[in-house]
Amino acid sequence: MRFIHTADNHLGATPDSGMPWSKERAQALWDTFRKIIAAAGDTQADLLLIAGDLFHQQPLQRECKEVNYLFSTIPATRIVLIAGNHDYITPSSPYLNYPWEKNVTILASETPDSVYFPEIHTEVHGFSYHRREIREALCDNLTVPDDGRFHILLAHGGDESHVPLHMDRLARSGFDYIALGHIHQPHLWDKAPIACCGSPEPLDKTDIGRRGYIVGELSGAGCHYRWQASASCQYRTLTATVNTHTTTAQLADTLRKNLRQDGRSLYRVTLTGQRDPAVHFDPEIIRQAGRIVDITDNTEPAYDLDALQAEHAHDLVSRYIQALSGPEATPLEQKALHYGLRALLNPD
Amino acid sequence: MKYHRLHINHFGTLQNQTLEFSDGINVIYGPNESGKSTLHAFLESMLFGMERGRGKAARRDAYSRYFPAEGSSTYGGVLELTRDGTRYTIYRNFQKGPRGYTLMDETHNRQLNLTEEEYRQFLSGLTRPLYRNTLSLGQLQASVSGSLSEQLSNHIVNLNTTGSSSLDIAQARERLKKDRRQLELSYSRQAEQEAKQLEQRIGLLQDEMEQTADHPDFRKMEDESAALNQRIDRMNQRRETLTREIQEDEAYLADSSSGDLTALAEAEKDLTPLMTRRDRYLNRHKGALSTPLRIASLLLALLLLCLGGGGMILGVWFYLKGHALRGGGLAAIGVLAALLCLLTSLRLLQDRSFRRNERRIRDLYRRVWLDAPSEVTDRNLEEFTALLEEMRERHTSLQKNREEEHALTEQLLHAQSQARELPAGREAIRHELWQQDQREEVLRGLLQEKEALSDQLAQNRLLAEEISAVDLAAETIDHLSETAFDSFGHYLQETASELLSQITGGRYTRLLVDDNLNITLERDHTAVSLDGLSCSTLDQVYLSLRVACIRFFWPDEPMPLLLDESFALYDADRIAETLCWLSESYPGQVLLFTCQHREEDILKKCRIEYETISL
Repeated sequence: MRFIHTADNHLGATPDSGMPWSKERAQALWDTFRKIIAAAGDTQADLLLIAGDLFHQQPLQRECKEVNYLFSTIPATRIVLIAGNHDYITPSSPYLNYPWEKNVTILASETPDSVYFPEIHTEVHGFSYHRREIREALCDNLTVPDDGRFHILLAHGGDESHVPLHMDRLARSGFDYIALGHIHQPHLWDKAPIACCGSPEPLDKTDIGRRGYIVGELSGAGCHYRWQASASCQYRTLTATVNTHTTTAQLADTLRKNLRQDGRSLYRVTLTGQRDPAVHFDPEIIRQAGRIVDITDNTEPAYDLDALQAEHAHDLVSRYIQALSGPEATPLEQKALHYGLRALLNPD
Repeated sequence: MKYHRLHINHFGTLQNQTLEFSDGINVIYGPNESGKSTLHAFLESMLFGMERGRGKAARRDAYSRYFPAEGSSTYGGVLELTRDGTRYTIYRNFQKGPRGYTLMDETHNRQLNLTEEEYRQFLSGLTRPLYRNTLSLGQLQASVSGSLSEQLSNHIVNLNTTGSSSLDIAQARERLKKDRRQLELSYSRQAEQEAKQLEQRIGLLQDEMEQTADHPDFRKMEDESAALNQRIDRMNQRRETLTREIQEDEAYLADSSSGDLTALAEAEKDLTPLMTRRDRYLNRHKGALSTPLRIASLLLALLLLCLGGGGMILGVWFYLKGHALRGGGLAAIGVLAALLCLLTSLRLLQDRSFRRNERRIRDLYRRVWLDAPSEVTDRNLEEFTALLEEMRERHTSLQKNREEEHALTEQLLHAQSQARELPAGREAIRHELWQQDQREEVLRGLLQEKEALSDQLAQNRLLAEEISAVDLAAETIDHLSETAFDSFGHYLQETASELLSQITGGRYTRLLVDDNLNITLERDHTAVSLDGLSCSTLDQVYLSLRVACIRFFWPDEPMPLLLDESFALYDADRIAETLCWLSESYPGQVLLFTCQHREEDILKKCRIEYETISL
């Protein structure tokens, strides 16, 4: 029995809203979902598991139509899905009212429910969100009977306010495969057939790293599965160190050389090091160096505090440095130190 | 520290000149333009080097001003000074920049290579600003700007807060204010407002969506519609049946003349006595008399009547005639005949009554049923009763059916109107779904706008942090300058009070500096503001403050005090007073620059030891 496991497709989301490439990213979510459906068709998967958050919000009718069409293109694949915390089920939810294809099963119940497919001897268990948060550990006490069927659990959650999961308990629950969703970072557990496939596309700048879905096969010999990359782009981090000679334009040039300009890499840039106290790195100019999502400026003005203290031993400067520096100084105090020193030493 | 000797190679107008200083008071005399200020500048430059301006400023800086017309290669000189019993020599060539000096330890005969910091320590922590603020003392420059008292206050502010350096606290504060303004300019209040408005709109929209989440169930609607149609069909069928039955009943009853059930009931009521009477008659008689028999009976009755009447009349007549027997016989025949006649009549009457009864029955028949049988027979009557029964039943069923039909029609109309509304309902649902989608799309738009703002908001948060850092910087500077004033100001006030009292011979007992750095003096237990004082008194206050500062910075080391025309505005008594105090109380060297002989005369007069150096 072959299956594909995906989750957190977040169709309808617009990542990096406000950035020039935002629309492209929104379209990529659909394209990648289409790719997964095509993969299910090509590999003749028996099951397509969608572990929640297929949609980013309550889906629109036309979005349902679109998705339903895609489902109709793989009639041989049984599709089982649950609603997650983003597309949670409301009374007017299209999950309940839309005339879905015959091969689609929505485990829409708020309590654990299951569907059995005799042809593939597989029973898929799961439940849907009916509110934005579920703080109860609903998966903790699930067990399955030893009835010769394959048992698969679909679950969405894994943090404090979204169905807390305890892996040791899940491992003991007896499921042949546990398909998790909600956490965008893919993770495959070693000790039990539990996998969080992650989102097939990164959704925002905090989704650093590669993204994809899971392809697997259940047989008498157990469950074998592997992670498969699918994302059209990747968020990366980059740290640039400056010194007292660095200027904004120079920094932009250096970044331009170091950033991958392949259209598939989006960067979060962190600036560190000691800058000339008179220099301020203009983020707008630095952004032009490539697809930079955000810039964190952790640089510090290069003041030689010891020398300053010696030079100004008798005046306010030394006492000012004493008041705001030292190992226990908070970041705010450090900033205040730099502002104050500039004001005292170069008031013009 | 003590100046020992200096030699000027070339410096401004001065060249190849050697001056020796002694302990105590040195009066450096020279008329105007003789180079006193140059000497002053030379002394400072020998200690700290010469500051060079940049660009245009360089043309007017001290370096250019004192650049010698001749001997520029030896622009500099030598200064010998004693510190802690050790004699040092500083050689400087100003052309070689601030580091262009050589420092020799003459006592131990070695050259010292000092870092800047070590050099500062070598000068007992003396810096150029500190030197200018304390040791090197000019006149209060009333003519330059503002009033004397204002200058004095300014001087104290800077002394209080910055001590030795040239820091300008007020300017630093301004700078921080400027920084803050700039940060505030970048801070987007608009984004904050927009975010707030968006938040509100999103909240409202979500509320609205939750309220309208009373969902339109399309499939349920379809089922309902089918059920309704089925019901309508069933009702129509039933209605057809009813109509048919009603029509039949009506057709049946159309033959009858009795209008309704009441009339029928009346007819039945009327029929009952008629039937009883008929039965009674028929119990005694076979039936109605036939017409010939009736006529015969009538004739017989008439005959019998005549016979009876005649017999009785004849009998009476015979009786009267005495023929009693004949008369009696005739009378008896007469009576008999009369009796027979009576019987016959009675029978005839009964027959008549029966016939009437029969007629009534027929009438009744006709009343109920348009058609009446020519004669009433038992079978007829049975039929009639059955007919009545049937009619009653038909009436009843007709009434019932009509009622049902009426109710059904109403129901049907209602159902049909419902059915008519159904497509509209479906349309309404479609519309509702469409609206739901619209709302969802609007919501997404708003959420996206909010997200697009999030960077700006994050930026704002950073800016807010920067602003609080600037605020913290300003607060810290304020706090430190206050505490500096608290400690230094207090010391200054106490020491300067003591010194002033000594200088002025107890005329002024106290010098008070308040929180706003306003200075007041106390004379004869009365507060006197600086504005009301003479220039010379102000100079004395200035002197006492400076000497207080010198004591503060160098409590253990006597430092040279340079007085540049400091007594120009003093009267003789005051000069004497001040000079006496200096010679008695000031531990260090005093270099008194003057262009007059007044000071010398007074020193001689007061028998104070001094050296004169003429330029």
